[in-house]
Amino acid sequence: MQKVTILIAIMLIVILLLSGCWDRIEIEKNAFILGIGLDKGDDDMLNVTYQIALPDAMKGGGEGGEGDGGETSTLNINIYGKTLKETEQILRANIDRYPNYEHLKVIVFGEELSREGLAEHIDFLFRNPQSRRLTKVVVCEGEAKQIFEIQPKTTKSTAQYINSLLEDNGRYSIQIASFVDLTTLENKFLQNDDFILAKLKIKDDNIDAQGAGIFKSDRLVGWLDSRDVAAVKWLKDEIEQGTLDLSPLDGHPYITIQIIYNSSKIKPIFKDHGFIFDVSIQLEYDLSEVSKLDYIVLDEKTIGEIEQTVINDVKELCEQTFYTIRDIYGADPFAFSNKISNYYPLFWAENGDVWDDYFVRSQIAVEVDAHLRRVGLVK
Amino acid sequence: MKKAGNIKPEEQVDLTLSDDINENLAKLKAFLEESSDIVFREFKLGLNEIHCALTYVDGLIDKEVVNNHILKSFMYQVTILEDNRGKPIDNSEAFNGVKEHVVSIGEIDEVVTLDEAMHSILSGDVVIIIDGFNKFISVSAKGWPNRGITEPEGEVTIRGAREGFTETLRFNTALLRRRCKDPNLVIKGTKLGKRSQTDIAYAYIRGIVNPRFVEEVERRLRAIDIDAIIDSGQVEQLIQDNYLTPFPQIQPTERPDKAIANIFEGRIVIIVDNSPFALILPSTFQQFFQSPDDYYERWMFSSAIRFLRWLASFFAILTPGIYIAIASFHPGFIPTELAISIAASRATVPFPVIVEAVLMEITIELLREAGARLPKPIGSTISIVGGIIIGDASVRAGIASPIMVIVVAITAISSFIIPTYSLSVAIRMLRFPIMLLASILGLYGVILGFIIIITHLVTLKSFGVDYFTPQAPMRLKEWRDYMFRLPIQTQRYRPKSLSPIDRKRKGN
Amino acid sequence: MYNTEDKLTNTQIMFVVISSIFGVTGLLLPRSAAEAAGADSLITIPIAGLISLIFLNIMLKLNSNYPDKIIVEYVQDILGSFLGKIYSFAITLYLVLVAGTILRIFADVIKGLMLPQTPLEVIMITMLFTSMYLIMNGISSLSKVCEIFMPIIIIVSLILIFLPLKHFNIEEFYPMFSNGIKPALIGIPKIFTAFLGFEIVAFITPFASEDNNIWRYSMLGLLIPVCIYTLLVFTVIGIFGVNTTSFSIYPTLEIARYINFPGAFAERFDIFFMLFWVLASFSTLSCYFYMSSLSIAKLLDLNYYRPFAVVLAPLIFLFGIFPANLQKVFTYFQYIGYVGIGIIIVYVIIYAIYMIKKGGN
Repeated sequence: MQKVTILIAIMLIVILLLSGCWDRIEIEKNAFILGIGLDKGDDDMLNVTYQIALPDAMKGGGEGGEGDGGETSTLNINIYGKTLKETEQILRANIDRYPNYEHLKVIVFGEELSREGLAEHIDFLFRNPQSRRLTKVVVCEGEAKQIFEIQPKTTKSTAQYINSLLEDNGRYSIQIASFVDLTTLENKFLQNDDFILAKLKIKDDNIDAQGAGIFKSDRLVGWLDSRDVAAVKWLKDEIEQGTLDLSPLDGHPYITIQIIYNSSKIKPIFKDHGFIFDVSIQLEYDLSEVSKLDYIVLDEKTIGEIEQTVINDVKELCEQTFYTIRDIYGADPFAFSNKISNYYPLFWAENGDVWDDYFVRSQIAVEVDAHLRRVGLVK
Repeated sequence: MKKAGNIKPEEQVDLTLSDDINENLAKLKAFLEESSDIVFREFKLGLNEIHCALTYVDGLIDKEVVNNHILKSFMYQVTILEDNRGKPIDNSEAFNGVKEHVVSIGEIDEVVTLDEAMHSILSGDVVIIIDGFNKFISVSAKGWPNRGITEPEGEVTIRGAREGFTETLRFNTALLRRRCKDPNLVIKGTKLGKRSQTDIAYAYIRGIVNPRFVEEVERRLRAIDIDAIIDSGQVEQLIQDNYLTPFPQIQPTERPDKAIANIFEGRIVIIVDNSPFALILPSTFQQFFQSPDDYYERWMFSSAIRFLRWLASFFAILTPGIYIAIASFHPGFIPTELAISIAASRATVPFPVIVEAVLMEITIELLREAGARLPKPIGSTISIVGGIIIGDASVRAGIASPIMVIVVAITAISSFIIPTYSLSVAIRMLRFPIMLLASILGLYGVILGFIIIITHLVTLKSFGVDYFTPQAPMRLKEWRDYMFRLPIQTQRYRPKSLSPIDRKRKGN
Repeated sequence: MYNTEDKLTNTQIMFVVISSIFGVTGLLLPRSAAEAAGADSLITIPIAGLISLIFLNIMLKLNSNYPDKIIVEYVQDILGSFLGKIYSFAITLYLVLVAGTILRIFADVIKGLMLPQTPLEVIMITMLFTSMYLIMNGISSLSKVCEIFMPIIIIVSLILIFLPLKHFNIEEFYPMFSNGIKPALIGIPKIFTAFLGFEIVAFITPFASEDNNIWRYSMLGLLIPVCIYTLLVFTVIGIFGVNTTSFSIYPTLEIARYINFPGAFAERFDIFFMLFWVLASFSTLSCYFYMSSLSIAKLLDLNYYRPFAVVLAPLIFLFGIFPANLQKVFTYFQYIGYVGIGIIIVYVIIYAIYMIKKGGN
């Protein structure tokens, strides 16, 4: 018995030792790709920008002079190719390390490419076991390549900068679109849904993430400004926190509120061969700023007015955005089609293919229930 | 032809005793005369001048006792006795007379063979030979230099008794006896080693311990056939269940409080003469994580510490392997910033991670061993200075990365947290195969190594008790004293895995 | 020594049953469930579980009449030597095939996710040898290993199920029974194969002592995987929706890849999860390995099974390596599952024959 065991152990060790280590790539031999930018190249080609971390520069920097703004801690490599896998192949010829996707933070699509459709280019990242599912996908104005050339001042790499911008601030701002990760994107593609992606734009040598690109199936059809983004987030129940500027009260100052709780419920109702989406929004907020110092807020009448303004504003915002998007783009980034397939499965089974026709005829009925909870430390 | 000097005395000498003192003395001298520490003192007893002799080993007896209670008695006491009786002691009553009236010492025995005689001489008794009798009197006057009872150095506790076992068997049994006045505490003795004739004692409490353990211990002790037992470590290796394993199945201890606590739990303690380490058996894996002060301190604190030790054992086995696997196979497993910082710190290191790791781990083992073998004050200096200087220098020289130094240090510290040295050594050794597996198969290799270790642990037994209880077979009731030590109030029963006769430890 | 014969405790019986069910299939089940019954699989899985409970019950009933024999022996008593041997041979073949497929799927996942360059054979052989080392040490070691690993695996599975719940969207289930109850019922056989493995009770009866409550604990051993599988499918479909779930090959892994672990010590939770899944696959493989070795030994009326473990290891390896690609592996796995169902149905017939014979006497 013992002998057999020992024999097995020896065999195991010998087999392993003789055959060697197939997968070993020392950590410093990896080229950690932090961001990928996809642009349209000539002749139906892709122009892919890889942002690769330079660990030495990223970690150290202590010895080099500070304030030397030009010093980058990442390496951007630009490659033309037909597919992502092909460009990766070329990348291997361009850098003495192994491309590694495990720390891929963000994928940026250039505007031109986005207008032609995304789905066909990104399959590699769904299929590749190395890529993370939480990688964020964004779209940018102009070329993605240029985005990666911006060297942010607070973070070492553009990709990490975009990542934390969307992840942390996206939660506290209603104007930044909730980020879309690879899994969500795959889901959208599979269901042929419309969606919005956060938009990046270069502004004064910095990256600005306000607004969003609206996609019909996988094609970019237009841009939304930050107020539209807020409305889309309301209609998708994605708001956690954030601030909202109210329209001025009659002869009164501007007021900014801080949303502390939000819940939106959307229910489709079939009526007259079309759908009405019954949106009921529940809102709790604090008052954070008033543009006139001696304005007394803590007063029943004023509070009533403010609450009414909030209700009107939110309602107007949602309706306006919904109808604009519906009429101009004919797109449904609110995922209303899912509601139909869930609430009216039979209808969906029959008319799912022609949902667009129904969608352009559908309407929303917004109902807002808003409450002011706190006004801060002064009246 | 054998030279005369090389012929063993037992080949020439008849071992039976005769009535003639000269013949007996000659026989004894054939064996013992060559040794300089054996004393033969011949003298005449009483008015009849009966020829007598004392034989003992110088250094093993208490000279005070021999002079005052034996020699003095023979010379003075006998004359007083004869005076009182008015007639001299004649040859025929000499033996009983000496036994009953002369020697004023408690422990006294008759010896009827040469073998026995020599054995009692060599174990520190004084043997009295009287002319005309074919038996000797053996008087216990043991007294030899000993270290005294000091604090155990290998098992330091913050709280608890400072006494440690010493090299003398009797003192050790006394230390046990003092802690348990139960008449059922049995301390049985036997001798091991054909030549060394080392005294062995095994102690247990009748009525708690399951008799099958006692029988088994006796069977295994009897089965030992070896010339000499120098230390209890040899006994441990000779009676353990499986010698093809790095894991100790019998727990050595220097602490009488730990030993007696285990006796009270239903275990057996073996004490070997000349060794300050008593053996606790049967021992299970979890026992090696216990320290006596776990039971003396408050339970919350003890539980936290106990859990820390388990954690430390995992660290000690797995940390280098996991680090190797992550650094050479799965850099995606750790957060981006950490991955980048490891990559940056390894940029100057010319070796693969596995080579770096093995180098550093061997270095720390060297330091540890050097520290352990050197005199205490120098030893600690060596390990501190060596550790700091070598660690720092190898990072500066670009041989190792700072993170590797951290990993090695954590591993080393973790392995020292385990209270029992024998397990700590086993765990330290096991991390090398895991590192090897990690360098071949990454994290899959590490987990494979873990599976193999667990499988191996599960197959082990200590005197028929599953080594890995109470984890497997799972005995949730015994988990009260496992990874955590719950309050004494809840520990009402002795461990079931030992199947003690009296299970109940504590009333309500 | 006290050859405390290979007797199992109650908890060991439970964990052995759990580990022979709960293993490789956990990765695949959400997909096959979504394919077979869509969102209705939430009902299908408990029903399939219930059916397997009934079969388990029958098995236990028949076993209790032969407390010191395993299935391969008592089937020969009931059916006669020839038919019984054929049936036993079918069982053995089935077990070896399952072991081979488990090994293959396991190795494929590890290769795909953790060791892309390492040859498949190396992963398979290392696993097989480790398993063989355990098997050689007998049922008591096997059961102890199951007992150690399974609680950990169950806890990790629950973490896996509950951590990503913030992405959960109940509406993914809404068109429940949109096409009536029928699709849910049609999916049953396909899902039922996920619970195969409870046959192990027919192999461990001789190792259960008198005072074991084998009935209760093996029932529990089946119920726990049923509950976890139901929860798992519920979570996976609730997060990904039916489409994505049936689109991805290992949906459970996708869930793990989707988790942002609190404290962020592990960027890729999937690898962390995989480590525990290795434990689960190991114990499942070992259970099947043990069952097949034991059954082939008893088929030849021998009392020692260890040499057969050595003989079977290359066989299992060959069966595992044989399918050319993953598609074939899954197809074979499905077919083998149907063979398993066939064996169980024949078993029920055997039970009927036994009852008739008993009634006749």
